[in-house]
Amino acid sequence: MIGRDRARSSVVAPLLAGLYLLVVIGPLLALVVSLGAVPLADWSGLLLPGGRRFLLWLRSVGLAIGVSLGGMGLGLAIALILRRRRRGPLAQLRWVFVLLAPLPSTTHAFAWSWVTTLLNRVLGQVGLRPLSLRGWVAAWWIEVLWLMPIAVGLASIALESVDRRLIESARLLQPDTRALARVVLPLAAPLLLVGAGLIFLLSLVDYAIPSLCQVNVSALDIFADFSVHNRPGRALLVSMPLLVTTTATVILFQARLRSVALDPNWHRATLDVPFRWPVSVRVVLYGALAVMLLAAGIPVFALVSQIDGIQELALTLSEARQEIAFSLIVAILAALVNLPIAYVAARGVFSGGPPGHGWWLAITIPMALPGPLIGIGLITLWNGPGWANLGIYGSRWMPVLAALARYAPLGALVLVAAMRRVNPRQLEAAQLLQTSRLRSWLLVRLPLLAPGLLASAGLVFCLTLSELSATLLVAPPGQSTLTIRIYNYLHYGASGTVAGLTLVLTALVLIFGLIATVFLLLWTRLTSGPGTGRDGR
Amino acid sequence: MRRLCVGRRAATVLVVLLVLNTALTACRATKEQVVIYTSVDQVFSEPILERFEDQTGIEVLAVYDVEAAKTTGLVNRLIAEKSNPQADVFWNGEVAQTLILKEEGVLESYTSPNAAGILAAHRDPEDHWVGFAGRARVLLANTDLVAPGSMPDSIQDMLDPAWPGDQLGIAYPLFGTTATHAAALYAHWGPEEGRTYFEALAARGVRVVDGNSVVRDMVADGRLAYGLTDTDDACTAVEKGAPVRIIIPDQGPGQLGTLIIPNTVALIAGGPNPRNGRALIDYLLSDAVAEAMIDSGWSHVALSDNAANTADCLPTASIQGMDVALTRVYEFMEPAKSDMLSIFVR
Repeated sequence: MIGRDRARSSVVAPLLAGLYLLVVIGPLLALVVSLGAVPLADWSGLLLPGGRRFLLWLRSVGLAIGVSLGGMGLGLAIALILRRRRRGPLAQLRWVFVLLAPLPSTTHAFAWSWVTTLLNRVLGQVGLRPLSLRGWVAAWWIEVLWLMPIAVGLASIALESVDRRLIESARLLQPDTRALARVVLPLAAPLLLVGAGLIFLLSLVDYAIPSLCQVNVSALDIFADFSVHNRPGRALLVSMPLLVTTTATVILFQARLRSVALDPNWHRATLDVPFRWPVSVRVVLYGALAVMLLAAGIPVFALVSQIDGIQELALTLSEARQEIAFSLIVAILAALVNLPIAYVAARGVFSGGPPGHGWWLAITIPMALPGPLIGIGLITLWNGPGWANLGIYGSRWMPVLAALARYAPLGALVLVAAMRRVNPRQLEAAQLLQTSRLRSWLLVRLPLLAPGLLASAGLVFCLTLSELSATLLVAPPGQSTLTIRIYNYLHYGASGTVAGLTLVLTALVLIFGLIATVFLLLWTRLTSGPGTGRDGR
Repeated sequence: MRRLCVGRRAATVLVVLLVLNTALTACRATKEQVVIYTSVDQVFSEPILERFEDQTGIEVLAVYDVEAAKTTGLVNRLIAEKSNPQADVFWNGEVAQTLILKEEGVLESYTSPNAAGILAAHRDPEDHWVGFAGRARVLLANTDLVAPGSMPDSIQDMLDPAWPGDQLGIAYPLFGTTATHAAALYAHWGPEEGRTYFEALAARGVRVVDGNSVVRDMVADGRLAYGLTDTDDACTAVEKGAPVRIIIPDQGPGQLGTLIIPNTVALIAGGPNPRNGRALIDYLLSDAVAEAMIDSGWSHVALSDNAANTADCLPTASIQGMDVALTRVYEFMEPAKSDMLSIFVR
């Protein structure tokens, strides 16, 4: 029996590992092959940014650092204030807020543009100068608000990962503010830094918000160069400084995350007595909460106010039903296929030594690739000699593969964090006493990892729903996604239709979030028997 | 025994993968089909393609582009698919990218009988593409901000210090029709004068925004006094009742004229349904489609001898176009874009 299980494992795990590498690393390798079409004489000029490109890179990095600091600062403050609320609606607010993460960046940009226009009308009537939504500050502000849901989620995870017994010990000896500064924050710092790194990366590769605020960044330069020359190999070389920056960031934060991930500190921290803050700190924290409500409320308010009525909304939905259905199928498939391949990649990280490092790189480097380049890599790979005969290219698998190529690494990262939170002693006990690998997996490992698997699938589901740049390049003829339709109408200027469709997108995400929350609550009740604390004691 | 088990498991995994693959790939209908890639907004192109389906019974499988992809979308997809083409027809909302596809060897020559009435200036001499249903570059002014006597009438007015640069706008001249316009100015004026013009715009702080639709929206809601955009965007603002006025620039005697940008349609070399592709091209080049596109608000200048000229939203019944060959525009695309990159993305 055990021999058969081993045999199964020895086939399934390498197959899934190979599938991850094919789906996620394959497009990157296909792009690397296209480097051969770039004349060697051009390489140094493209690889080493000089003059204009160097300044662009410098400013892009500056903006990303600013967004990272601002986003995580606000995220931490909000996580602290919401952490005080253990019951009632505010207790779950942070997780509801996190569900707004997949709102497209342009939704935030257009919402704030709409608000600025309204404000300027008022300012004009009272004779004051109009506000301008352009420049670095505007780009920074909108990017911070766009990424803040992710920051709140990551900061919450970081705070909850701190062993509560250490916090309680510190609070016995010192005021809460000192306990926070000297114990909580240093202990949460590795995960907070990882969050800051992730936000830095997301900001660095985004050009939609900066270009709407008329700010030029390196990511736009890459698209512009791609548009001028239509050469993916050349675009890959132009994007090298950005890739090196992101890879360096990932390696820097990876060291922190690795130490966190491999630390057997698996306890969950939930304070019995909430922190008590002095008035000055409370003002700052509630100020951050107000910003969060603005970040969530303004886009939703802007969308609702632009809808042309219920009948129009119903008509919009009816016309977009095929796109809605196709988007849901793609997102569900991406979320499901993500689970086994992201799981194997996350397991690979814990294997240690060179294979462990290799898996880290396989998870982190693809995150730095811009979407259109991934799309071109996917075409080169799946429509290339040999692969084209499989019939996958041109089928409905392609948007699923595009979503996986972009987001399975993020799904794997979530699972790495989830695995860290599993009590290794439970796994060791299960391994010692197991009669069957499959039974052990289903009865021990799966229940322990269920919340992490759900989070990983949920993240991939939500991000897939709003994916545009890679999907556009590989969508099968005759099929379109909801996001493609939204951007089409955006150009047409049909604000009511765009608002309606974006609200549908948001609603789909919220419904998934609701289902996931209910599942988690039921799961928690089922798995926490009498006498079992939330920390597993 | 173990080898047998391993083989059985591997076979099970393969069967599951094959079943999934079949479920997602075997849903293709057996009826006649044609695959079209189009950069024309779905809201305009979809009804026209549906009419073709109704008339011929051929199912149209379309892939649409979006402005946010900044022309890196379908054109790059077609180039990447060149070794194993998936599309039969490319219907482009403008011309420059089609010329790039011809240069890349993506297109196949086809002489449509319906192209006979198209002016020679809007056809490829080797019949790799045909232009139809033109749009024009126009100035769109906010009537609350610009008095009737101060309306601009030339693109040179964008350099007039009477208007602060930050009240005027253009889309990034690296993408779409604005890039084609820049290349056309390079071809007409010469590269030095063309570059000087755009450097002067940049020096004046003219706002460079994310697309022609953004120029339209910013003019319509008063964030810009006036800007350079396309007729389809400008007419959308007029139809929505925004306080705007469309000005066809440089229409006086001896003036430059404005750039008329044709839609272009082309047959993809080695596409899966060439016969249906040709039928679709014939349909798109019909006078009925040219008029339907003017009615729908996408096109505003018919390029055929037979179809009615210009749309109702425009202030004039005829438009004086720039005297520049499209092949010359193509020659200046790359140098102009390279200059625009260094002038505006910094």
